[in-house]
Amino acid sequence: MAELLGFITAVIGLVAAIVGLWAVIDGRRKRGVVTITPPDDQETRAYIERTIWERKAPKRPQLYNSSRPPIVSIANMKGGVGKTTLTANLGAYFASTPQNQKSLLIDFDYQGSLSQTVLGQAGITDVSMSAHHLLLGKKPIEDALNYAPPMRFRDRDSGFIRLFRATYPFSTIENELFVDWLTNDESEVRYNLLRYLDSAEFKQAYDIALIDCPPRITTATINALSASSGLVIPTQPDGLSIPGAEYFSRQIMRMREETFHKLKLLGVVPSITLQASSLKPVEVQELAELETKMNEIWPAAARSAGNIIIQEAFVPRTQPIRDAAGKGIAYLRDSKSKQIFDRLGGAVRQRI
Amino acid sequence: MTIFELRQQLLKLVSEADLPAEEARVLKEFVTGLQLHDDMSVSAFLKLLSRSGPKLERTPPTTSDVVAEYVSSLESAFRSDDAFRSELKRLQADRRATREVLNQIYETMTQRSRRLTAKATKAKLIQDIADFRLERVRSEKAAEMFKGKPVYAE
Repeated sequence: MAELLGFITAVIGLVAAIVGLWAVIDGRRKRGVVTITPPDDQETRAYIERTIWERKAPKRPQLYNSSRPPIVSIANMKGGVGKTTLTANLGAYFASTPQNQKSLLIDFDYQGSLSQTVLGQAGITDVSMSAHHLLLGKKPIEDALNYAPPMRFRDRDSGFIRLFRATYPFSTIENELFVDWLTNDESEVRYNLLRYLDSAEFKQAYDIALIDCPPRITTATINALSASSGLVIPTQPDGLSIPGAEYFSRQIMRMREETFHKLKLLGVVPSITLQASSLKPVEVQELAELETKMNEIWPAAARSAGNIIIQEAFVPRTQPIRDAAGKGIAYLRDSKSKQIFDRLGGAVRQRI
Repeated sequence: MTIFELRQQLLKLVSEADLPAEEARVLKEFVTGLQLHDDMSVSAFLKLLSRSGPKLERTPPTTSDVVAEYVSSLESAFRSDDAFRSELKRLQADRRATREVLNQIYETMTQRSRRLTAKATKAKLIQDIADFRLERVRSEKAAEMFKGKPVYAE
């Protein structure tokens, strides 16, 4: 009898132990036991926050202060937010009637999506690159322009697009230049693009230049920002993308004063939004929070532009824009897409 | 004059002329062959000929003929941007290239079937053909360019 009682007690004890253990595991699971602790020591924080491009003081050339047509970088450290789509369609907007401008597009993203989109519109299947010449700085200025002949897509427009193309090996050239810059005290690669864009030959060849940047701060990105007068940051108004715009802005501001103090934020463009007619309340809320942060990061932009976020010129997620990606320019293919980018182009033009 | 009367005169001429044996035989055979139309006047017979001739030429080619013609010409122009562009222009200007024909050309070239929607205009269907070719040729060219070289994705 005593043995039986002992056995029952043991079973009950075992069951209680299992139930207790499960309760602990379940409780932890519900509370979420995985936490990410940010580095709290000063040294680590400084190491993470500092960009690699701050390791050497810039040797800004004299020509940095001379005047030239507007040069606008379209950039963000978050990928897939519509940088290429905006660049291609803004290029078409500026080249079209009534703007009829000479648009110079520079594909600085080694994935080459801008090149494919613009060349696709012309039915050209070429996959070679030419934008690397603007980074390497070895081609004579008068020769470099030949790599970007003018393209006109419609008879009724008197403006045109020139395109410097990129493709995957472009990334190797960026890395080579970066290593040279980092290891050679005399080397300064940040203003190579500026030297071309500031030349008399180039200035005659464009009324506006738009640069599609890669989603990282690479040699090409630094060159783009060092040559640009304006910056457009596209972002999806959601929790995944907005931190990218904020982080990117903070990184840029760390370098701006020393390296490219003339760079002005033209605005943040809400892109790939959920519906075509208007922004959803949840998107408006996300953007309002971003506006507050951006006002703090870019006080000068806030003073000159009113709202930093160009909310009225949002670019929605639509089928024609999606279909055109990599194959052609939606602005030239579809009337509703044209309306969307006319609205954005007008807003950007006002802020330039 | 009827065909019968014309035949009599031709036979007379053939027998009177000093023709080589082979030519005389062919001519007699031809004139005899006209016997079927003896009761017709020559002018009615000529009208019949003129109607039947062009009628044969005017027979519209079937949709599949037009599709096959263009699939062949577009595919042979595939690797050249200029040649393909001019083939597309020809297709655009061709009245036989209906929406159905264009959709069938697309389906044959891509080996995909799809429903022809009411929204698909001729311009859009031609654009689809151009886009298909663009992607295909571009990826072939990229593969050639990167052959043997590692391509690092981001």
